[in-house]
Amino acid sequence: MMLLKLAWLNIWRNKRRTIITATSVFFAVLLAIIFRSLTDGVYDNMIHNVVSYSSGYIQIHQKGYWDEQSIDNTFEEDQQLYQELLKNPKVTHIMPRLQTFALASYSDKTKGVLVLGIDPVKEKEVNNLHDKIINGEYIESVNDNAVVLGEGLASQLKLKVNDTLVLLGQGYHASSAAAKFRVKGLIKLGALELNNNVVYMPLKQAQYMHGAENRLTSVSVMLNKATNLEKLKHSLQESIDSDTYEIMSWKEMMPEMDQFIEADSTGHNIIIGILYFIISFGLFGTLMMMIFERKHELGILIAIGMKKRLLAFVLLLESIMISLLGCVVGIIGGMLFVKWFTIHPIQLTGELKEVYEDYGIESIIYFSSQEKIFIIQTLIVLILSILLALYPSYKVMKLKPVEAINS
Amino acid sequence: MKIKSICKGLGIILLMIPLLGIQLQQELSAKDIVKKAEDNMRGKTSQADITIKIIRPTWTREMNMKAWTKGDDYSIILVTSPAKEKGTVFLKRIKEVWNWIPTIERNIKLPPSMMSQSWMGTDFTNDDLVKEASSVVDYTHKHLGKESITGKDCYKIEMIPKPSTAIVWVKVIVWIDSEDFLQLKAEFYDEDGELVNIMNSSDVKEVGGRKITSKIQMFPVDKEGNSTVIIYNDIVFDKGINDNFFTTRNMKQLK
Repeated sequence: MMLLKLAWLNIWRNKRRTIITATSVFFAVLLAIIFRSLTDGVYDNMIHNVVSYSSGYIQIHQKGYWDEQSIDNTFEEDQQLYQELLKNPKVTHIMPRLQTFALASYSDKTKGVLVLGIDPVKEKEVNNLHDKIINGEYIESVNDNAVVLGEGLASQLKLKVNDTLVLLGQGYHASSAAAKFRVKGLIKLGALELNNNVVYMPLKQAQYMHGAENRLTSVSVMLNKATNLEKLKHSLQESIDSDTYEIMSWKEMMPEMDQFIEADSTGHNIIIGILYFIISFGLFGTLMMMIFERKHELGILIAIGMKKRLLAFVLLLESIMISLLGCVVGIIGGMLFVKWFTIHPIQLTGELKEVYEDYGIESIIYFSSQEKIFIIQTLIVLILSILLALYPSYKVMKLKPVEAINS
Repeated sequence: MKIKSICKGLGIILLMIPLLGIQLQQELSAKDIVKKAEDNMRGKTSQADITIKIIRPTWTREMNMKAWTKGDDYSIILVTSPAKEKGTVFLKRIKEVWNWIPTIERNIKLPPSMMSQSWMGTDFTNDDLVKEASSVVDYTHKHLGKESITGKDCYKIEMIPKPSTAIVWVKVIVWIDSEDFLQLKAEFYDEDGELVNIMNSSDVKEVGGRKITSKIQMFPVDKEGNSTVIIYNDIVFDKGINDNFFTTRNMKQLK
């Protein structure tokens, strides 16, 4: 206790030195947090955008659907399932879908397409589909007797708004699925694959066309951007009937995106490693200066009977206090920074904005505010500074009082 | 596939020609037996009312159809139920297959790439509709003795396609009833010698004044629990049908 008090008094004896050291820790923490928050935020944003058009964060299928994606492996629409899913506070939206492949034909052009039977209202809440319409109108309800086409697909079929699209596919239980639809609008999507292949169809129409009344291939679940995916998947898994349904996260359904992020973040880990390295040297410098300045004082303390061990411990305590101080201020600073940019995200402009939009990703820089980032980054800096503080302690153990007093 | 193509898809609907009092000899060559069985299923024309059942492990589906045939070259099938597919027509003209789909008002000529795909979701392929190989001319036949199928005495005959033909099977074994000369069973073997399909014909009945096997069931061997059943509810034989009946134009007004 006395040592604690001693250390506390010591660090405030030379305020300037303490503040400089604490400031270097503060900047280290702040930089690490901002960097991580930024990279994670960019990933989160990318994932959110991609999954909102495609699979959703989590998808629920009839058991066995993923291995054999046929319309025969669909399940009956179930309000109870919806309620069960929405009960979870992390779940923001659910999107029922009937997804099949069909041949689309207009005049003498024919092409294989992805038919997405959707609930237009639910869908637009999630991914603002109606904003991407570049020609014509968006479908209004599940019963609307019209479809919306990817703009790339429309140009391949040489088709315009209000033309009639013919679709031919495989229906439920070997029935045939054939129908004509008016094209109500064209939609420009970032993902080329979707843009060139997708036909959005009101859910009820899709079900009727495939002879699969009230049946769905999947229910996509949307979550808050920063939700622990695996944990949520488990809790959802428990709440639904696992004999009937299978539940999959986007990582399982789109492993290539997961791998891309993994590979990309390895690069970021190297950068952040270098950042830690630089920070460590800055910190080390201030610590060295401190021990140098106080050599005389330390020598006298030992000479009048202070045990070296205890003195080394006091120095360690001082370092920890300074680091803690820096870390706490750093976290507060980081939080304020991230908070500010979460409320006022950085809007990209110019060419970069176009690149982002071409890929169908919102052109904003979004900062992730996952608590995990704050905790991990702070801990790393804290541990680093404690490790570094071992050096002054070591110096004290080696100190020769006479030389020190005379220096 | 060729040999029993007649029994599959459209071919199934072919009618039998009356034996016209041909006296059966005690010892028939394998080829003669196959010819007799084939003749029993071929005719000048036929009009049939058919029910097709698709049986899968977890579901079944039933369709009703009307079919008209003329010789080997022409046939036309009209789907009469279920309601959603009512009016769908398949036309086989020589080697072409056309599919009229009223809901989209399109007449589609089935491309070669679709020939090996399932016909209407059944265990028959589109190819089964058009193959017109003759089980008499295109194969060499060999007696494998006699066996009893569902209590009936049958000739068991092995048929090997001739090298010049485009038959996908390497071997077909048929069982032909020694009394009525109706084919009761057929086994189809692929190039690896593996059994691929089994076709059973049963329920010998007098329909339209002839004795025919009114129920034909196809089992794909590698898909357990899957099969397709074809049932002849009614057939009218040898009623003259004009060639003009088998045209793409007529498909659209068929009732």
